[in-house]
Amino acid sequence: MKTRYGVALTVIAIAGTFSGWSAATRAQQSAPYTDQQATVGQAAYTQSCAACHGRTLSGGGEAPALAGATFMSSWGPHTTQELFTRIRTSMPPENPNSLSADSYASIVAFILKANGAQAGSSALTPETNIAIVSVANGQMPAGLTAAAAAPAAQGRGGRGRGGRGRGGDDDSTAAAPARMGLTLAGTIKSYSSITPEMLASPPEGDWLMHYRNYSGWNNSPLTQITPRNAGLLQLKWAWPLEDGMRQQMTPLVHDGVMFLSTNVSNTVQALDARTGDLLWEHRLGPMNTPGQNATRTMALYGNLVFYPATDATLYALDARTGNIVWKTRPAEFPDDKIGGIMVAKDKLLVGITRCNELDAKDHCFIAGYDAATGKQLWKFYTVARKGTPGGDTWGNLTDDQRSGADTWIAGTYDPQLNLAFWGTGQAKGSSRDQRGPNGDALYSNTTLALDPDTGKLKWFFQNAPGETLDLDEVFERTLIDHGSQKTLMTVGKSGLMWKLDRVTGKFLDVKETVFQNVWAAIDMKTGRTTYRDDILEKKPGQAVASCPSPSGGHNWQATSYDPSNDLLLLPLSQNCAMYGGGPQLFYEMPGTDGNLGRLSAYETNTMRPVWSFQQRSPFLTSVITTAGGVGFVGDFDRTFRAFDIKTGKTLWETRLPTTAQGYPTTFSVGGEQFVAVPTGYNGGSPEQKPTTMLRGEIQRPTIGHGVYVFGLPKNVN
Amino acid sequence: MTDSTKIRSVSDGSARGWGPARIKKSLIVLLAVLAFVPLAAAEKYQVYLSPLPHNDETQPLIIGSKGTATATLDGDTITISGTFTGLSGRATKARLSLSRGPGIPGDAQFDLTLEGDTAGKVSGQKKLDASQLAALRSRKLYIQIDSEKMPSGHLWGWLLEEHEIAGEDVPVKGSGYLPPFAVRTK
Repeated sequence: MKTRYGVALTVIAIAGTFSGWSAATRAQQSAPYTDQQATVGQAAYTQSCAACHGRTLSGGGEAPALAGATFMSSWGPHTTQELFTRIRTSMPPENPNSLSADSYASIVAFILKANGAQAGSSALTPETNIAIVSVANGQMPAGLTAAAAAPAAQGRGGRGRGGRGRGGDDDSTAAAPARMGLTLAGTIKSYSSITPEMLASPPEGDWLMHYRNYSGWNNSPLTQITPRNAGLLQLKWAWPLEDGMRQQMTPLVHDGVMFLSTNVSNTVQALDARTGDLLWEHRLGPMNTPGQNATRTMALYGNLVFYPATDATLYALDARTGNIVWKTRPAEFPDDKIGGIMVAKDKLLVGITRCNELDAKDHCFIAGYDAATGKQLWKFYTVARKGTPGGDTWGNLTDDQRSGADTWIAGTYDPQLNLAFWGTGQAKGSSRDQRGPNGDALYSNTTLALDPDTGKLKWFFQNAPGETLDLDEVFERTLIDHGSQKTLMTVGKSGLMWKLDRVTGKFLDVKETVFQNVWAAIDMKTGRTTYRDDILEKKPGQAVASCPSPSGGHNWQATSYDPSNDLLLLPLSQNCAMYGGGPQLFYEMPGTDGNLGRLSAYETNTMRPVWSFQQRSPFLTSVITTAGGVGFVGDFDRTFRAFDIKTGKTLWETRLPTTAQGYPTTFSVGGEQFVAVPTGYNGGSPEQKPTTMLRGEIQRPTIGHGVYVFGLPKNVN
Repeated sequence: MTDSTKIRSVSDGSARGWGPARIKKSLIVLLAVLAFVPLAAAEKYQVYLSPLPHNDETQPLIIGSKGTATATLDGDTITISGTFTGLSGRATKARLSLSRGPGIPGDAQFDLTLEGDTAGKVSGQKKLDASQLAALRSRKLYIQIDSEKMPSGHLWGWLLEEHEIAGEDVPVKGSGYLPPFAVRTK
């Protein structure tokens, strides 16, 4: 006998599959909403929902589509009242029920219209209760969202009250700044030009790039902070950042200058890294760009600081003054965003993400630029199209129906091999049943080895062929040598830790780092994974269990490699979800006793776990390590801690105003070592799912974006 | 086996009668054998009871609800005993269910006994057939408790082999307990 839960899912799936689609072809009756109400609803949707669900309601990442076949499969059998209640009680995720009932009703009206429902003469109310499939067929009227999909204009802003969209991209708490532009011009004299040699071997006290070194180690040679004195760490200075949108940035440091950014107004700032004094500030704009995306990475080269703005404009600013040296817009479609960026030698490599527009020539790519001039040199498309290598791995899908393989995380680089290593995200639609009968969908969820001078693909290894649960394999590729063997290690959302030969791409080993139940088999000769049968047989609208959930056993919170102990330190998450049948339903991971956060250390030569540390609160920063033997990591519950790299034992901890989120860095100025950690409360699934699971249990302010810098007392130095 | 063999060879070459020295030596041998030869010991399992999949609407109903249980397999008979607390409504039903593996919803196998209200006890004893025994040993059996507020399932937890439980915030050596799932093939 099936549980009632299982029965319910099955009934919904069957209803969605058969009743829904048979009804889709029949004539539609007038729906209980008016055209005027849908127009109001479209405006409310654009302001409060489009950031995550897309302006064309196509969904994205973990935000489901709200129009078309996928939506009708999930929601067709349900009623308008159920949809109204679902949206009102759960959206926006950071602040459910924060809009008026009329606004929620108008959004439902817009969703009905976007699914082909014909407007009637009476407005939809919270009490309206009619089966969605009886009035809608999933066919969007031509031109409905065309205006909304127009390119984002510079200076878009001045919007009024808006609920926080998923991830808070439509946050309303940030007041418009008094003026835009170069609001404080810099006159930094003692700034040395960053050379390719410096990037290959960074000065000890600097943090020049996203992962500090080309190899992606997040490891500093600084030794002043040790297990013996870490308990004495104290706050040296703090700097607030604009509240709103997604704050997951990396403070970069060179020659005592720290570079920060905030994506609310696309402001880049240079601060004195020792004192926290502002040296220059450039408010580039636009304000509050629609479309969810966090700015995680900036890059430095020569006298330039590179900033990927939220409207997908790539800026090169003079690091000494803040002036714009060049700018370009690599993205091809209005909703596209810039993901990770990195410098390899004198080339700026740029990954594109959110390139999700189906049935259009919107494909993600990595592009190479001349860092000095901004001239584009090459593009590598991460979706294999027909007639190209791998082009036969997408079944019958046309080129324009192939989407995803986003490059939303920065790559790494091996100067000796002259290869840049990038990961890609999942194919879109995110599940096989959405994509139709298909194959491996290259180059989604793949490790790519590219020549940074030409963009030529040297080798690839697909970590998750034909991925179907939104379990990206996009994250950092860490380069580690064991004697003469050059390896590449990476951990994806399913928690598998991969070891590849980075010269050839050959599979070497794989290890599960959190409990997973999605892969039924792993071929240890080839590394090919096989899903559970029920995942492969999943029908549209059906939910399947996924441990980890699409928030990932591992996510953008980067790992750190400590070469002294050959340890790779992994920030991990332990939660599961019923996925694919509408809204994700979360639950604790079996065997974890409710510990959502896990920090583990693995010896990379042997793949042997050395220690693990679990706690209720998930970790939401990357891990960094130092040659002093101390590691740092921050979590959802506002704790930032220093720990002993060898044992995992906590050496020091402090509470921050809100969630520690982003990429901590460590640096030195004038012989003094500092540690910087960003705070932020909005984000994608790693931030949202804990928010859902811990609501009512862990309280944290949804205000307080900033950077906090710690160091030892003077007398210790 | 190596140790007992070694001890026996020493014994063979020593005293012939049952004097105190030989009795003492024999006791040592017996203890050594008991120490190294496993008895037909009962298999022990432990269960964390945690909320079933929930969304924003049902999340307020599951806050603070949890439980633990143990299960002992003696021969082919399983005995389950556990407690739960913090339910938002009275517990109404408990059962042992079979699934494809940890974290995957499955089908009820037989009812368990409930005592209490929003907090209480769950227990049961049942002879398992061969397929159920195999399921138990491959972590496919789970306890589910329904409540008035969550009639389709409030708490669930898989029967996992007895393992070390690290205290929260205490590092453990190795990875700690990670239930295996994927089959590794070559």
